[in-house]
Amino acid sequence: MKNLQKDYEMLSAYIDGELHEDEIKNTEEKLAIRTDLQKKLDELKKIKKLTKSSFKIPAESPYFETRVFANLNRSKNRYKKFKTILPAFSFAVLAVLLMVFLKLNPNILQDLFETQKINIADFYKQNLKPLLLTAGLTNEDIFNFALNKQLPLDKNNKQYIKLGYDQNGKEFFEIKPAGLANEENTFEDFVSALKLNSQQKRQMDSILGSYADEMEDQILINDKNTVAISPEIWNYNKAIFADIMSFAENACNEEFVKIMPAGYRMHEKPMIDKMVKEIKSRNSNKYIFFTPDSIFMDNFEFDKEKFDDEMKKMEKELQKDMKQVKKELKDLNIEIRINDHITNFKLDSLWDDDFSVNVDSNSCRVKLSKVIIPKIDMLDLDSIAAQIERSLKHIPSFTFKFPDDNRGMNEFQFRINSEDSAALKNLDIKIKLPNLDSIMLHQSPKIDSIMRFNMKYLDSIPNYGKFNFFLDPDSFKIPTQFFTFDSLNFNQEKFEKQMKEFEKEMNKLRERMDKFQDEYYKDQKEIKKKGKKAPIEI
Amino acid sequence: MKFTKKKTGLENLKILNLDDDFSLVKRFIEEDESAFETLVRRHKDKVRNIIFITLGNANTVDDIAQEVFLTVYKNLKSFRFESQFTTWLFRITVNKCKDHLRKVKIRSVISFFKEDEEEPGYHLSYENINTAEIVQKGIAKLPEKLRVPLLLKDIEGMSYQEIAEIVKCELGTVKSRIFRAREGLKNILEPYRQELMS
Repeated sequence: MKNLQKDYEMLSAYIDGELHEDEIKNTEEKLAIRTDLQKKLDELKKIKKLTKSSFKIPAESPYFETRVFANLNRSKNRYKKFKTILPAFSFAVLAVLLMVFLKLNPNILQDLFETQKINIADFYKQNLKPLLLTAGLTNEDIFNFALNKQLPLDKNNKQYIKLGYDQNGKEFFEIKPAGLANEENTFEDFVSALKLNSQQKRQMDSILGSYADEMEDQILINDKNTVAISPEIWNYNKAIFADIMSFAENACNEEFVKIMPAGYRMHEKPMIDKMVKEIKSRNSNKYIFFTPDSIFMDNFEFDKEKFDDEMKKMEKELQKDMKQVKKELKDLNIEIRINDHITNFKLDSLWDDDFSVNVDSNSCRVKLSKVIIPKIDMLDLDSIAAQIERSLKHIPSFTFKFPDDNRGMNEFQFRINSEDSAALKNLDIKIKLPNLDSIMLHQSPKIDSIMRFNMKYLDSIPNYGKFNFFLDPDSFKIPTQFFTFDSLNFNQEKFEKQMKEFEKEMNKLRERMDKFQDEYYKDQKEIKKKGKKAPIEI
Repeated sequence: MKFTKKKTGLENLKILNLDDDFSLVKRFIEEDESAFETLVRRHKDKVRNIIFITLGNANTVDDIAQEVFLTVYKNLKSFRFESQFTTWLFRITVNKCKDHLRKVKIRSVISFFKEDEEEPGYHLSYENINTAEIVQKGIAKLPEKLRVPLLLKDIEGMSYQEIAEIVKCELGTVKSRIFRAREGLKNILEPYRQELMS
């Protein structure tokens, strides 16, 4: 059956003239002997004839060509038009696709930025080392940090970090050059004012030393000019201050009372200890990173143990003592460059609106709001100063009058009357002087030294040394800057020395004048001698 | 010594026969629009015939032919010279016809209208019946895959090879389909044997 079908197909191809020579030969041989094939061949030929004859192609429309070319021209113009708008169209399509893509993946850009931020942050977080080890801070620096809230970042470059509180009581810190920092060495004054003995001094050093160790990971730096500061540094500032004051009060209460404002007492020691313990046990990984091109806040875990191990290993391997290693680390040139570039940072989402960074040519101030400070009332020198200022407003000026004839008197009495009896009661003051006349005539500078004694109370209060005293001995008021901090530091020995030098200079001048006089007389005598000769005629 | 530039086969062809299809296509690619007009004039009849053969409807022939030449115009610059231009052209024509039939089928399903005029070759009236109409009706009843090779062979006189390239199938398949088409047509026309014989 299959072969028969194939034979018929061959017949169909045969009448179409689509067979090869051997196929034709084979087919014709079969046709010669098989009648069924002959019959099928006739049928196929008839069908082919019918098909050919019955199918007439319809006539072409007279406008066919015209229409074809008109359509082509229209299409060409459309294509050209499309070509001109293709760039804009492509751009629009791309924009729409991008919008759709971003709509479907809203976090992709954020993720991208976050990844970049993390990469940059990781770069700046490398090799962070404790600042205290490299800057070689002394106990005096720690003490100054407690009192003045400033800490040198690098002694070579003389940059300081200063903590502070703004008008709203929000914490801020700023980095500024040493020229703008308070460079008073209050530690020495404090120790001498308390009259600490050597053992107490050692105890004080031990307290400060312990904080130096504790604060190691509060400020970190690396060779990429990154400074990482932990906001916990405020708490340490309070803790150190409280600890020092508590120690001072307990160690030398008598002297402590003298240097502190009247009536001020520190909290009970257990309370201070509790607060210090709480601060030391806090384990915050948050750091504010200052880098050459950005400021940001991020988590960073400083592995203190690992760092200590590394230091020990280094010490062992290099067979150098710790001082040498520290010296090498000290040579690292760390500098925070404060310039316009530092403003190109993006606020981290972790910050709220209260966070702000102010940069000028001299300093960089970062205001914070998320520093958690223990709720313990502390001695706040700033607030005490403000309190004293408020009190002083009630006595903007006061007068005291010397008796008309005060010679021989060695006791003076004057009264300060205050309108605000609640703030300051009327005060009678007696001043006894052994011999005021002699002091006024011969040793007037000593008055300054006497007053300096009184002003010790105000040593711890910055910039409140100006009082206006009005002397009215002859009903003639002379406004006088009676004493300021500068005048309090009058050095009598130095003055006497200067006067002696001045006297020497004057003696030298006198000798030169004498010499000059002698020469002058000598010249006059010679002129007189020459005058006896006859004048020369011209 | 005189140097003569060695000419490639294609250049010789170009010089000898500038009017062949390949040369015209080349000229069109080189922005000679008149070459395309020549191509249209040369092949429009064949294209129209194939459309009529495939669809069996004279009304749509010109429209489909327009579409064919528009498509050729848009795509001619990407012609790869791997086959005859006519093979490429007729394949486009057959595809356009298939697209048209598909559209008609979909439209009829959606609109519930029976579009009689779109059905291939069904314009026969039994009242005025004649041999040609009977045969045309019979051919129209053949399935497309049998009808098109049969007509390309018997009406257009194409070789099996050309048909195979246009309808994209094997040579043996074309041979088989043409035979089956003839057998089918014989069976369809069996009731009209008397009329056809007379």
